[in-house]
Amino acid sequence: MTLLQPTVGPTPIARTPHVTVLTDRCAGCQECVIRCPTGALTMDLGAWVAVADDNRCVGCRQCVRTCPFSAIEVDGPLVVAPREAAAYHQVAELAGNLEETRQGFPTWTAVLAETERCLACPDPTCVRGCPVHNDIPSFIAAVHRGDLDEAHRVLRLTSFLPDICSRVCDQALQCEGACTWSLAGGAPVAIGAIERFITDNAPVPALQAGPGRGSGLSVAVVGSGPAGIGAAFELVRAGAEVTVFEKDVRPGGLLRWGIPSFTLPRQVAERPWGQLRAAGVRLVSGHEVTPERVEELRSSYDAVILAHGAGQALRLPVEGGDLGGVVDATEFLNQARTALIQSRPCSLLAQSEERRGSRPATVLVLGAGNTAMDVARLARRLGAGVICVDWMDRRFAPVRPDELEEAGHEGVDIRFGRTLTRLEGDAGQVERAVLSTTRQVSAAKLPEVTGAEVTRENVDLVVMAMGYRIEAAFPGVAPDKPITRRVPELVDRRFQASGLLAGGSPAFARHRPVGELSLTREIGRMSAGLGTADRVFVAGDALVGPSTVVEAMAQGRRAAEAVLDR
Amino acid sequence: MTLLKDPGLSKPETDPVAVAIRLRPPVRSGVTERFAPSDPPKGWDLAAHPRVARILRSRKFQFALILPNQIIFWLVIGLGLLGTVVPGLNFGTAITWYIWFCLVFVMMVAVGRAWCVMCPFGGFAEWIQRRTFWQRTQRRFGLGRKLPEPIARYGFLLSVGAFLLLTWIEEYFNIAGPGNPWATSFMVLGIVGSALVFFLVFERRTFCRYVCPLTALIGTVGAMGSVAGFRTRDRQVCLDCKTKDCMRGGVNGYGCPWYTWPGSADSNLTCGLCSECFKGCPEGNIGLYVQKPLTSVIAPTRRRADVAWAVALLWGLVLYQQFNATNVFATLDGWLNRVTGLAYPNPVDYIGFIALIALVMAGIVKAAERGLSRRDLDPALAVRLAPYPAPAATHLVTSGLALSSGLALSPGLALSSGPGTRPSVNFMSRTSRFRMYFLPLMYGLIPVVGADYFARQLPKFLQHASRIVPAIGHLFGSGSTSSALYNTRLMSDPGIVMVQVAVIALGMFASMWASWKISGRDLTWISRRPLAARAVAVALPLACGLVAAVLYVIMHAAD
Ligand code: SF4
Ligand code: SF4
Ligand code: SF4
Ligand code: SF4
Ligand code: SF4
Ligand code: SF4
Repeated sequence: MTLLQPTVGPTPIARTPHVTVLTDRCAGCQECVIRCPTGALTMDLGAWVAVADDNRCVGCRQCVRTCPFSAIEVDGPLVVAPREAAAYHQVAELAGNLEETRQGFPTWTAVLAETERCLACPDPTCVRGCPVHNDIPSFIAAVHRGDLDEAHRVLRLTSFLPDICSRVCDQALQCEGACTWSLAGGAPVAIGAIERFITDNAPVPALQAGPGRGSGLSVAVVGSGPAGIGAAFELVRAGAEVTVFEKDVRPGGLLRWGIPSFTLPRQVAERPWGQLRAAGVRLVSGHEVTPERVEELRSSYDAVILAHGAGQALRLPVEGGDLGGVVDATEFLNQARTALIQSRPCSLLAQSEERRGSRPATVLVLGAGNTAMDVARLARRLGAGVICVDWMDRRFAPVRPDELEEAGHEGVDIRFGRTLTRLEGDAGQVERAVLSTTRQVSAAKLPEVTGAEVTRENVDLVVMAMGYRIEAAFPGVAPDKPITRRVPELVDRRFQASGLLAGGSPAFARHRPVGELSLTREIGRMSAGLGTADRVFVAGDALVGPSTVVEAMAQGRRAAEAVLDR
Repeated sequence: MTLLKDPGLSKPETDPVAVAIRLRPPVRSGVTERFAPSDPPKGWDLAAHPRVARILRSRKFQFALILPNQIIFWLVIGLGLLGTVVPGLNFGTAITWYIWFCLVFVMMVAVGRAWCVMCPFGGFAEWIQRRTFWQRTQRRFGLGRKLPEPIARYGFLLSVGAFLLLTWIEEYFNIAGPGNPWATSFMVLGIVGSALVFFLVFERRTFCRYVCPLTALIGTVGAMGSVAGFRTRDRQVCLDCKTKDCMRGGVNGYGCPWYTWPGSADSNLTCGLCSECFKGCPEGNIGLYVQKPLTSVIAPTRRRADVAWAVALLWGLVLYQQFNATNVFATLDGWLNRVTGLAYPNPVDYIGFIALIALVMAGIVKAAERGLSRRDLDPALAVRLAPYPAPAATHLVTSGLALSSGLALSPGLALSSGPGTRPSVNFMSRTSRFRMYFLPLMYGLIPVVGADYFARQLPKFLQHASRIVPAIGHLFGSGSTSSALYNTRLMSDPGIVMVQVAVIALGMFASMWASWKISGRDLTWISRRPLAARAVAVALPLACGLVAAVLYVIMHAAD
């Protein structure tokens, strides 16, 4: 068992932080007073300025971030215990093993120690960082009291997929990255792991569907992935009649084919649809809704929510790209998953068996993002050797560091700063890949191929896993694509007041501007509620391009709310 | 009170995460009483008139005021460099020294920071900083730094320093005297340039708030003005306001460029009248208030040390300017120049004299405090227990402890409660017995000091104001030194002295009245002999007024 520790901030030392109020500039607006988690701030009514009690201050800097006039300064340490990390479990035998690798908190003691670190911020930035706005301080407080059912109830108020999100969310860019400790430069509360502890240990309540404000509405939802699930959940809860169209035989979209079971166990991934069906959501599976058919749906339903995702895998236009043995991530994930579940060899790898004999197959994965890691790790479980190449620099790659590290532990050969220039083959079958080096100087700039260091690798299968995009045919469906519209009612001032936007790019969030990312997600969520005049709404990846499970769910729910409001 | 709500204002929407927001309750008790003395009467809200409101809401409001001044001052710069070297005929010098300075004083005394709203120096730099003439944009240009606290804590004293420096330069190059076109234009360029640098390095109007040579003078003298500035209409609405758009910037307005919150302003000292808060407040909770003259001298509950010292130093400066026209000064100066080997204006006697006057003022106050103050009061506490609103006193030092009980959600925070809360001690927040007298007494001197500055500007205006006509004519090739208007005086020298003395007398009486009111509230309760304290408070401006008046007569005689 290996424990992969996330970056932990400085260990607390026995010194109190020191708060300085700039008496000249402090206007006594009390923005800091009402947001200080510990009550260290109050007002001096005579001078009408804020005053601080250093002994109560824990150094979270919330006051500094929220002060409109930058009239308060805090120096000194963060007074917080070290973060309790959840465990990562490295399986002994990889081949054929689909056991979940990331583990939750092993004991109550560990989870309680972690809940102690939460300050219950009055204006919690973590909540704004969570795309679906879970009431994080409340569920953490409930866990702290030992009341898991209450914690679960709080979670379920805003999220239908807490068991899934706590496993697949990139918390460093969402809730945890936005936690006040992270913004102050330390290690945030392990929100994801606490959330997982709740869902692992509290029974899932039945989905209550019944007559409500949606009664009498009949809504068509296209796509049964996270966004479709979010929409169906919200609608069925309100008593609406929901029909979900799915082109696959089985529902779940990305949850089913996109995320391997060692990250998201099958019973967890299948839970939502089990519940939705039980609640009366009608599923029409194996039924592809083409753009032309949207019009038809619109005339027979009160509203249509397009949540078909962004399922078109990107392919690198490269010489030899049409050889046999070059596939995209979707195809590989599907095949590999079926093979592993049914404990039989994967047909994609079997193609090259004749040529290589008993030598294990070598899979070249193009890309080193989260999808690529899934592909690579699945391939490892199928017994293949894996090389991942990505043309970005390691520092700027949009991949979860823990994912990268785990893949490394599992023996995936990850090479950044490389790109594929050519594929060579024999008899229509790919055999060799020609790689050359690239250089990327900043996150904002695209890498350039330097041409140097051409290397050749013998490969048996090439998987293009650079990501996905929205099917080319679909954008035309909703002529007024909401995302391109201004969102006048957007509440960025609240984000601003919370201090999240002043949090910069904290180390825990991999130096990404976590506040701006949150705001962008909020714009996406608001956009999902806009819809078109003729009652067509778009949500999830179909709206904003490839995003995350939780974002898609949040948007699906928002679109459903908008349908219910109309 | 009914709030004026305009349909055009965007309302704050429901927060998407409202469910998780559990803000602590703000401190409310004593707030009304705390601000009662300085809040203008509810009905005196100019923005209550729809037409005024419409003008103020227009984003072009300030632009329209800045533009004419902008044109004039670039003309000053251009003509100073390229135009005639005859100061009286050069439009640049004529408008700057004969008209502008005088007008600024009139605006100051009548309104407050009226000049600041139209100022072309800050205006120009702000256009660049915002990258727009009037729109509300998010595109900031520049580094957006904050002025470091160790400097910022001296507040307006930076500006006083800049003003002393500028005045010295002006004396040194004799820029204003009759006027020197070339130097005038470099001076204006210097101000625009330094403003630009500050606007690009620091955020908002850091320059205007801290550094501009005029801001301390306008701020203090402007306290006599009848415009209270932009103030909040209903303080309770502000206490409930979660976004503070007026401070951070809202949809339609920037956050206050002057670091002023209309919700806590108790004088017009730092309101640049730019109306951004009015545009930005989503609640329509801001009005433009007028007040009785001298209110901002008498009423502020929190008196600022930087303002008090600024008054003492500015008083020293204006006395220096009067004194240096006398024969006594000439003798003294000659001797000093021989000793130090410097020439007029000798920086040693310049700074020395000003510092001396400020210290004399402080010495007088110190003596008064010694003889009058109650020994049983702890100044640190007394300042906070000041007698403004009786009910507030009981709530004054709200301990963090009491507050924290409001929200017991925080798990596991076992922090010992501290020994109470005190503001960090620095120049701005320090308390002492001396300050308890010095601050109110110096505020009381504002009218007489302001009057003296105004009186100093009068001769230039009364002797040369009409030259603006030939100066303008000269631009088009007609005006000359032989034009009738070039040599017309609005008043003869003895007449001017009469007017100057009258102005001083007016300022003196205003000061005496203000000091009487101030001492009644701020000094009697800390003094063993309350009546004596009030007598001292009234005697001080009387003495100052007499000194200034006598000096004008002597100056005239010396001419
Ligand atoms: S740093 Fe945090 S705990 Fe300390 S005064 Fe500021 S908000 Fe309160
Ligand atoms: S938020 Fe800033 S200006 Fe407002 S009371 Fe606190 S320190 Fe003062
Ligand atoms: S849903 Fe994701 S982002 Fe939100 S609290 Fe849970 S783990 Fe964090
Ligand atoms: S998780 Fe972090 S930001 Fe959220 S309430 Fe707790 S301490 Fe505050
Ligand atoms: S003036 Fe308006 S924006 Fe400012 S605090 Fe009051 S209500 Fe809020
Ligand atoms: S208080 Fe309002 S009008 Fe005054 S300077 Fe600030 S924003 Fe401008």
